[in-house]
Amino acid sequence: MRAMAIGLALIAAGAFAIAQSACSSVDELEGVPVTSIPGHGDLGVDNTPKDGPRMVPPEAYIRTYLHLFGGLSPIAAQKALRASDGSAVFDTWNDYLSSLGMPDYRVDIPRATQTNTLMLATFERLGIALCDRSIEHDLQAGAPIGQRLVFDFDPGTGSADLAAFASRFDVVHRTFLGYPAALGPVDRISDFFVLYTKTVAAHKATGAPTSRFTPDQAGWATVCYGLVRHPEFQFY
Amino acid sequence: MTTAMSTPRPRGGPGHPVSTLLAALLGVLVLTTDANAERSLADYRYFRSLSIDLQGRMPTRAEIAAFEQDSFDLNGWIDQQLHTAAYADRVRRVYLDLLRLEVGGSFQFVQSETVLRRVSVLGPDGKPTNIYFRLGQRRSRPETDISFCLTQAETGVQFPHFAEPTGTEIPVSQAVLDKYTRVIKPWWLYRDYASQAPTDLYDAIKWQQKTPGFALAAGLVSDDGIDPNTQIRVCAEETELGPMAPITSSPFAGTCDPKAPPFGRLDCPPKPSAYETKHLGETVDCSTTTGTLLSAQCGCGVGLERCMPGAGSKFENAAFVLPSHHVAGMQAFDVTEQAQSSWARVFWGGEAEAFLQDIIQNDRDFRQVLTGKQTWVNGPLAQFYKSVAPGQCCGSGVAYGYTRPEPLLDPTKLPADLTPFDVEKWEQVPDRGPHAAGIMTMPVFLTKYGSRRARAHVLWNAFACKDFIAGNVALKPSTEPDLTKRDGCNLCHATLEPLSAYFSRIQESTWTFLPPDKFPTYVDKTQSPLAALTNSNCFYDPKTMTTTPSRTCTDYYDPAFTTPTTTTLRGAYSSREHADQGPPALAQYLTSTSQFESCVAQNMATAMLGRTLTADDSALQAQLADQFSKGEGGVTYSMRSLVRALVISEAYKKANNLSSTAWRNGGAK
Repeated sequence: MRAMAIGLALIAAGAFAIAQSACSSVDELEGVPVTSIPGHGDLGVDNTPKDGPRMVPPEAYIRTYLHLFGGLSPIAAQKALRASDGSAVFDTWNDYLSSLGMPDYRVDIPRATQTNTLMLATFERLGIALCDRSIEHDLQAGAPIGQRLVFDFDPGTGSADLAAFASRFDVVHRTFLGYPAALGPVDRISDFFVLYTKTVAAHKATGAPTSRFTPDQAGWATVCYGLVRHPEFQFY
Repeated sequence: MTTAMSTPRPRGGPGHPVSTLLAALLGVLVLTTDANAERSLADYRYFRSLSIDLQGRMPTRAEIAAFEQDSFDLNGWIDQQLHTAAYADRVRRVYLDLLRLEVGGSFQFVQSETVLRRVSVLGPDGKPTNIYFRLGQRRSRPETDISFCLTQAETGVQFPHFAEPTGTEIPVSQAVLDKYTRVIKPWWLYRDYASQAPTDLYDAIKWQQKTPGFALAAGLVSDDGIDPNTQIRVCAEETELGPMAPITSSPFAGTCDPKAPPFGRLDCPPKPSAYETKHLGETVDCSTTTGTLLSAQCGCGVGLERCMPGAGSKFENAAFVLPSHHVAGMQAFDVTEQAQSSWARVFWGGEAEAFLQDIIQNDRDFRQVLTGKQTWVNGPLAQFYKSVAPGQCCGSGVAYGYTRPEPLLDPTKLPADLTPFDVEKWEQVPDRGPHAAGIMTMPVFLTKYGSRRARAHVLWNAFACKDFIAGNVALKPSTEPDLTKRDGCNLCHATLEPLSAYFSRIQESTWTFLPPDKFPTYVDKTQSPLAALTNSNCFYDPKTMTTTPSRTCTDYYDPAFTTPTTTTLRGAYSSREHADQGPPALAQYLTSTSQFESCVAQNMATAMLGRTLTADDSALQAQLADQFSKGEGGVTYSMRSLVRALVISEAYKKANNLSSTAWRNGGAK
């Protein structure tokens, strides 16, 4: 039985148990039904079977990816993703389809429903390509705000504070993970802020390797890498 | 779950709602039920799940913003999505995953009777000239019958099958060229090929606007620079136009040593068969193998429309530009030059996809997946059904008087306005004919699952959710041919054989239907003799038979179930009744039990929950099955009704939120 009871009833029951244990031994405890506790009579119990998040179907992943890339067709997106870099950033869709878990009915290859190392590497490769091209489109080419694909905000200049970062980060967070950053784990915004500032600093450091991105752009690219490769993006 | 969702949570605030914090503590999520409460993390994740499953992609920022509005009607939004192509594609994918309805290159669909190849010879001016031809074409000269139309003496070279000519070329005289070949404007180069003077010449760029999806391989357009790309030269017999023509006599009556064939040929010319001798002068259908093989007046029709081109002499030659990997519901990821066999295979799959999409998106009775008489075709498929599909008929069936196929899709039912160029234009065929039964009688299914048992197995699996697993039994040597009785085998075959018997009248790996008046299920020569069988010595004792029986017998009747006086149609031994009823009866059987709706519920819930159902899900499965069969809006067996019930169920909302911590602690299973 994989059902798991949830809700306030359990919290209350736990608190009750802790309170009891403070003044008596465990052996003396007598269990009572949760519903017999005043105010808990109509609490529901979630007895639905549980499992971990499932993989986003590769078709949905690719559609989302293409949507984030401006709604291009796969062939047009491939051309744009390769741009003048050839295969340095992006190979071809055909190189990625099977590793993304796409079934191939012609040869009876079933849909992959669990990740593997090659799939994770593909997520990484595709994600970086998307982020880098989006930086070029949104921030370098200066697409008007409202028409930017991923970074639909004014990135500002100079050293951003946490509050300024959080409002911009929320845009990217919603884009990839589908909910406000503030609803994420407590440290999410601050962790990404550290990632951003460290990347900016590294790019500003004396002797830093030449990059096609400014330090701020590199910072946002790194934030994007973190989100597009996040398990919450690949699963639902 | 309320339909009016709560107000959006302020961005960037430091705190979390109590419900979310508790959920984090417990490793589970609590869904907001208060219409005035803020959206919780669970709300957002639920909306994201709905978007992925019903829209086919994650929600956009704008959609999330809309979702955050007080006025957002989630149930209304779900209903709206349940009418879209994206939703239908999601459901269709579940069944495509189960049935895997795409045929790969391992199924070589290269019919000599409908495939044009070409070889290069030296023209009268000493320059190379391409000539198209088809193997298996009846010709009037023994030097060329069933082969290329020019001889070694005329060209200086010999013509091995599926290879370039060998030898030292000599220029062909103009008189020979004029006598044995013709110059024409073929269908693939002219959209108006059927007119008296075609002018609408293929142009890759312009035609993409007119008929998107139709693109020719470069070799068919440029002819490798050998010929002008406005017309082609083709052997004369192939240019014959008529749909019917008389059987013409074989031009060769002598003896032939296969080691030294006459006339510079590389093989012996065929001798007259008993059938053609007996039926000389009778008309035959030129779209069948019989017509090609037996009549020099059977050609490829107007503009060669009954034949598919190839830019070379190999077994398969580049012909069309197609995606190398077709993914249902998605635009092409690439396009490459491929042979004509790919052209057919891709659209066979497309037919099943369009058929399923129509049923799901329009919420037709889902049993039609198996029972439906309708289908959908595009231009290339219409051409296939009219001109190419009959080419599978009739082989040795002529001995039974079977010279014109009784089709699974009646070509007279095809839309008249579709041309071979209408790749992206799909039209419905409301009724394919009496033998049609959903996906079961589509070429993609019949070739993907070539054997009768494979066909029955996949249907049993996908629509009854059952499999054939024998368990731990010891198999003993046995001579019992009846697998429903043989020890061990019978554990599965007692069920499988009667199911596969429904397909006895559709030949394996093809779509040729065997009509009962010409191919009785059971023949007792003492009661109802069949001349084809009697004349070919098809009645014998298989245990004492020392010679190989004729293919006239074994192509259709099962040697293992033959006696000196009786024989049985292949596949029919376990249930002659099923054999005569055919796939439509199998469809009725599979959809007539409660197993069907329960299985549909299981398939959909498994796919959308992303896990195998367990005993704990039995109530959910029963509820979904009930909802499915009751349907809505007067439609029973409604997939829309089932999916709606599924996505608003607690199982869907909460089943995939088990944290990784709980997993590690063994909380998952």
